[in-house]
Amino acid sequence: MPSISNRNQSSFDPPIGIYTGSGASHSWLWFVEILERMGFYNIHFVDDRGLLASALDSLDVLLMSGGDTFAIAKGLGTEGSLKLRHFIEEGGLYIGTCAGAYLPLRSSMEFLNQFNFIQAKIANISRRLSEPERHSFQQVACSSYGCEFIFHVAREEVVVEMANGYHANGKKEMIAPLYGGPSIYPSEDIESIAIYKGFTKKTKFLVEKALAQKTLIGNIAVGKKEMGKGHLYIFGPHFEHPHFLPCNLFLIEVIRKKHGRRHSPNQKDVYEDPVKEEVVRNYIRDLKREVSHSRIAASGMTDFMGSWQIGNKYYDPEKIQVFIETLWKRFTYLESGGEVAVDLQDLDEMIGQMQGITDVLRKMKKGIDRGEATDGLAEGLFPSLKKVTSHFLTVYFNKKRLESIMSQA
Amino acid sequence: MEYLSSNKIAIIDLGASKTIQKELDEDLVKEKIGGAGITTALYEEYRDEDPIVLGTGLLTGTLAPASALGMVTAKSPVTGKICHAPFTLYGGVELKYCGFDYVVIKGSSPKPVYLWIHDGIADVNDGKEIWGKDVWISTDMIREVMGDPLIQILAIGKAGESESDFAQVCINYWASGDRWGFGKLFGQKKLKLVAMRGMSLLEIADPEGFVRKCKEFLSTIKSGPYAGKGGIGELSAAMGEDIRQWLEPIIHRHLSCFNTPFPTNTFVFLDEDPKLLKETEKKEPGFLITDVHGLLGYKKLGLSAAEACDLLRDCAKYGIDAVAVAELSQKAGKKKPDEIKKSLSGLKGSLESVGKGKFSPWAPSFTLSSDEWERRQAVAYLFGIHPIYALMSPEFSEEKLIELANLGTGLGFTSETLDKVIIDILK
Amino acid sequence: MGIKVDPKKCVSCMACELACGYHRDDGFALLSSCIMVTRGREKKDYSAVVLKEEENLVIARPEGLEIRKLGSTGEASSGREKEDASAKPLLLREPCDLCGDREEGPLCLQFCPVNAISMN
Ligand code: SF4
Ligand code: SF4
Repeated sequence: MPSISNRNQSSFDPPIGIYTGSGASHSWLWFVEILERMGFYNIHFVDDRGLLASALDSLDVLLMSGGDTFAIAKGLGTEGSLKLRHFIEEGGLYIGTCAGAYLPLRSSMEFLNQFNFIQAKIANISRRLSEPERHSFQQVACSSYGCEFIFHVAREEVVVEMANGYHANGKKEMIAPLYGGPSIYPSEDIESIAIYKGFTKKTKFLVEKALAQKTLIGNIAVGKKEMGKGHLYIFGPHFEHPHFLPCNLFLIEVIRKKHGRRHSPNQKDVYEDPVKEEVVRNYIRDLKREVSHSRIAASGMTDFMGSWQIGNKYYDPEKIQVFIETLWKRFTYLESGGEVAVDLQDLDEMIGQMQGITDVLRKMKKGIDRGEATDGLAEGLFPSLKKVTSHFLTVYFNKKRLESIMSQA
Repeated sequence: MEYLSSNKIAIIDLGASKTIQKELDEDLVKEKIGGAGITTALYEEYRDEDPIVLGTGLLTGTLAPASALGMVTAKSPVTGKICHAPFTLYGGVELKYCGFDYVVIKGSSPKPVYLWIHDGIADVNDGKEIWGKDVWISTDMIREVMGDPLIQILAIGKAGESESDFAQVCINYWASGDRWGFGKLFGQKKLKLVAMRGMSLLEIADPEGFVRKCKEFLSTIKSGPYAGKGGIGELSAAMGEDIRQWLEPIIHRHLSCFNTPFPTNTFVFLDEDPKLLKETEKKEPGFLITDVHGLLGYKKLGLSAAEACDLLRDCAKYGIDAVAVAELSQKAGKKKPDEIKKSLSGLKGSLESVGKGKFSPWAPSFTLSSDEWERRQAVAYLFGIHPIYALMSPEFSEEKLIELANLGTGLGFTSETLDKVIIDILK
Repeated sequence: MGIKVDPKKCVSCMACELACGYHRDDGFALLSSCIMVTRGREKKDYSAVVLKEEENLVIARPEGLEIRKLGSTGEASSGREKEDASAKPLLLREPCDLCGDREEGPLCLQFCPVNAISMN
């Protein structure tokens, strides 16, 4: 597995928000992974409620990863779209991958039509298909898009080629992972940074190769648009996938190029009464106990070979473990001593949330053993997992940031 | 201790219901290797508080063949000596991965409790709900409450609660190799069970070298005399008491302990067709035989295989050593299953089959002299190798084990270290 | 090409699981292994060996093979399931790569003591 070295972190650590609200799948965790490896610690987590309040005001960058575009748009609504527009126009940097790339593209669909920031057209939408081609999609993957549908021609690896003088670490081409992201027709309204160039041995075609070529090749994979004082960067492929180092580096470069916006990082919370170490240690221990309980209850489901259907997405039990392991592997650092600037109430709340998750997991296990449907329980579980994970990561990155600031001083 | 280790020891004070953690000192490992070497040292350290020490061997839970062993070290209420009882199946590996290499349980609790050792946390929990329940129900209850059937459990039943001399610490639902009455000790301490679960990662000093050697050793022993064989019947045959035919009709499957090349356990179906392949609808169709001696004991009483296994199941539920029950039944002239079942509660008498040394006679002596047997057991209990399999695979020699230990930990053990530790623990 | 397990030979020793975990983590751990022996029906003595492949979960049960499409609720053979083309991989248990980077090939196979694993 390629890995990014933890480069000596520069003093440049812009406040970055990662969207975790309605519609977000687990791929936002990939952003966490690569940002941390690159030494970015000024990381904040923004759900739809936060975004509708004032979360964007203190950020320089907003990262919107994969998931259900429609659910994201619906969760944010008109007010969210105004906030987002304002954020970018005032100098913010919006980076969207996959669903985060569809979101600002033009659409006439309800909710989505609030986010028509970029007038470029999606190439993989059914109105571009001939009747027989349309027909061929009855058996394969697509997601409904009003009276049309978004279709997918290939997944896993694709080759993208940099355009307009852009390069990735001196290279013109790179391999990127595509999981349902858009292919975009060239347009006046978007600057092409990279186009879909070809396929690899690991490309998985979902339709005949000819149609895949027609849909992807030569179209925009990565594009940029200026809006007011800010920018939108949209990525069809998941450039934040932690196994694709050149993609990660390119993405990080985009963030690095971003000059500080209106404010220096909001450091108020960092220096807020660091609580006595001993007390915090005990709380962290209690939290760890609860996370372990969830972890164990989740492992109890390995015999269950099914998935849960929530909306139009399928969730495997492994996804639960993905969230829990994100927390788990960071405990050693939290336990390593030193100050953790955190509200005890926050920790208390997290412990409560974790207990709730453990309860649900144990109920699910019982349900599975009795052959009962557990989709309802799963539906409530994933939002809680997202919430507690972002809560935890906030505490974690606060500590990292505090340490990094102190070491620089 | 950096490699093949969680680097932690839990010291649990049952009286105060408190746990502290200590690091596993690398010097202690260099001096005592692991397993019984270190459990003995820890026993000595806390001897005033009548401790029960749980531990794993240096290689337990690795790709080293047969690295399945976990052990209980304590003073036997039966023999009055410091002894080691083995637990295998997935118990040893679970302890290794649950975040502690060793667990010292000292003092005794005023009220029933159980230990919940998970992911590097050791909790003393209220045992009110499970006290008074048999081993099977207790195991089911803990697994259901925690939501994970993979939790491994060392539990006592009514025999232990009532402090019978023949009480055994069982593993999950089955008999363990406890012939020392450690079940009674658990009962005296009001310790109903120890539940273990963890998913940690063990680092290896020289990963490629270690794994290459494991592979090499495995292929040597794979072609040994036991290749292609399996089950408790083969063990009996190797002991010169062939029960294969007698048992055959009820065998469902043979099962290995963790990473053990030869399946030393046999699952028999008593209330279900043994030939059934798909999942049975019966909740409790049979029994896993983990101890050949108990089975042989009942066979000697003239019972059928099904009757014998049914009795073994009752003994495990009650948490009593089937070997003792069979021997005392023989002496008392009891030969009817019902009669024997009724005698479990309040069973008294003295045994001839009590182990004389430090290691449980659960591992048959096969054709070895008692000195050879004892040395081989000591080696197994230091490195964490399945004690029965260790006897069956002399090719997996002391030199090879030392070689693996060095590749795994980088600590430079020698045969002199080994000799010294063996003398030490046999004292 | 893929890994094939004969569940009737399997003695549930977990060696394959640990070997695969080692293949992923260079240490001993079970969480990232893509081959697993199910141990949750202990009292019933029922277990299967499960292999996670790129697209499918291959479940070798004593009574026969079952293949489930990942990211769906159904069996692969039913053909009725549409797959979710935008599903993102879970990077915890990565699908079997047949130990492509190992000269001697699949590690699980080499560690199975009863030769229940083969390549087909
Ligand atoms: S072949 Fe390799 S990757 Fe595949 S299951 Fe076996 S050990 Fe794991
Ligand atoms: S290594 Fe072989 S016998 Fe052991 S669990 Fe895997 S398939 Fe079964």
